[in-house]
Amino acid sequence: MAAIPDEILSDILSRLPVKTLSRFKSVSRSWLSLISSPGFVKDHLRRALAGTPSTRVLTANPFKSIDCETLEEIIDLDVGLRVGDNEWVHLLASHDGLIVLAVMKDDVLPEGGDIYLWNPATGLFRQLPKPALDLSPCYYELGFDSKIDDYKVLRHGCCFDSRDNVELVFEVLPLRANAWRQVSREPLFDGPVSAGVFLNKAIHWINTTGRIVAFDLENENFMGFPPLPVNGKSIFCHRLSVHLGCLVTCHRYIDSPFQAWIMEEYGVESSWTKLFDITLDNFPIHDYYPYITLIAIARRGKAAVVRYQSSLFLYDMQKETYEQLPVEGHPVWPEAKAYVQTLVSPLTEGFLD
Amino acid sequence: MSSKKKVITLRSSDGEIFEVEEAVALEWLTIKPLVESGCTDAIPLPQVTGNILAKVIEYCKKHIGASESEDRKILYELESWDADFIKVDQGTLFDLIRAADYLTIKTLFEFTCQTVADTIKHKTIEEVRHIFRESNDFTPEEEKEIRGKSWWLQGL
Repeated sequence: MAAIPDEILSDILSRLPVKTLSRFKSVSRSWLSLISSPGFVKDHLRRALAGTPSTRVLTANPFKSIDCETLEEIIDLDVGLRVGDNEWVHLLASHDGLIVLAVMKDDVLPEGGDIYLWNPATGLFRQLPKPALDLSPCYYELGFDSKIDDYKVLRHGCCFDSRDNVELVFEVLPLRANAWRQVSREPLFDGPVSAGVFLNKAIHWINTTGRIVAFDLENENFMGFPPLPVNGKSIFCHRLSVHLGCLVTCHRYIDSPFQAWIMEEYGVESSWTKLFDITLDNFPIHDYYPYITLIAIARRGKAAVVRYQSSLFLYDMQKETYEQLPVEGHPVWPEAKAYVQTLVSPLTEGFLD
Repeated sequence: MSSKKKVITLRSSDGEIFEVEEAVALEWLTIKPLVESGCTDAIPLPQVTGNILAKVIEYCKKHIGASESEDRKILYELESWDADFIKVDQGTLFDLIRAADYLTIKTLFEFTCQTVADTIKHKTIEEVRHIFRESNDFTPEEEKEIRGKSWWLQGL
């Protein structure tokens, strides 16, 4: 029997989960080089993003990961990246299976910690260079620049200029160049209220006036973006996320439920469509007014994973009920991130990646 | 629709002659242009043997129209039919993949590739080597190093 051609073998293997592929690297030299090749990693990523929903939610301190669809298969991820007893992890950004995180000693703020890029599915990680400028508060995001075929980390925050005026500084770190480069320095304007998300070559976030700001990661400049579907009312608790390649916002007005909207056509204001209201009537905790954060949309759009302090809940949109997930964040650093399991390497090159 | 459907003639690598409805042959993108041009001669398929071609035709006849159905009963029935259809030995399964690739039959290619992926998912390295006729060309040190790099994934 003739061997299976490489293109077909590649197609078959791209359907397998990361843990199986990591194992299959030891089949032979040709399998190792196929599974490690950038083309295969991209095919596998494309299938992981397009195929059956495989979103997982990651919490830190300690690292745990849970499958959003089955609510089973909790993975204890305290491997690969070692975190000391007196250290805390703050999850900063997530894209294509890579996580940007800060490891902080004791009570140090995230901006003072060491920044790592980590793939929780393969366990591979690397420390990013220490930035020269201290920014506070500082936000990190991660995206992909298809022009240079490389991932870029964006960090931005406030610092003082020589005359003690506050400025907003934007710095970019392309993974291959592995050095921070300042791309923009602006007089203080309305900063973000939470870390942004990457979609269609740009990082998007909501600023303190409730507008969407988009930073083009390829051309490294700001681009215009349509407003949120808010009708001029003041909103709070707002945050953006991405679901099936579309921008999603979750926010609330005073005395109204949380509501999630999806921008079905990128950049088209009229395509904002209401996904659901999150009513808090059945919320299981009533000690004080809940402030919840949308982490992921699960179960083919029928449920949402939300975070309340360090706890995670699955909210069933039809039954309007909450189910607490068996994973917890840290009380002080409770951030949770949605991610997919991919082979994308935080290291730039290397045969044995 | 006329009662007499147009029939296309195919010839396998071992000279066997098959007749399929035009609608089935049009799903095979490799021969679609020939079918559309109104070719009346037997279309030679030098890379597919008769026994495999028979299986391919059986699959495509069953699936034409049915895959797009929204009737749950039909889809359920099709699923269990597929499960029986694919109960073949490894060699036949790989032959079906190659035939689906050569003839560019997307549904069959997807189905057979996914079947192989599902089958090998939990197999040991040795079993996988046997299935794909791969030989271990690592030195013992290299193999140890590669396995060491994914030790924490073994138990998952």
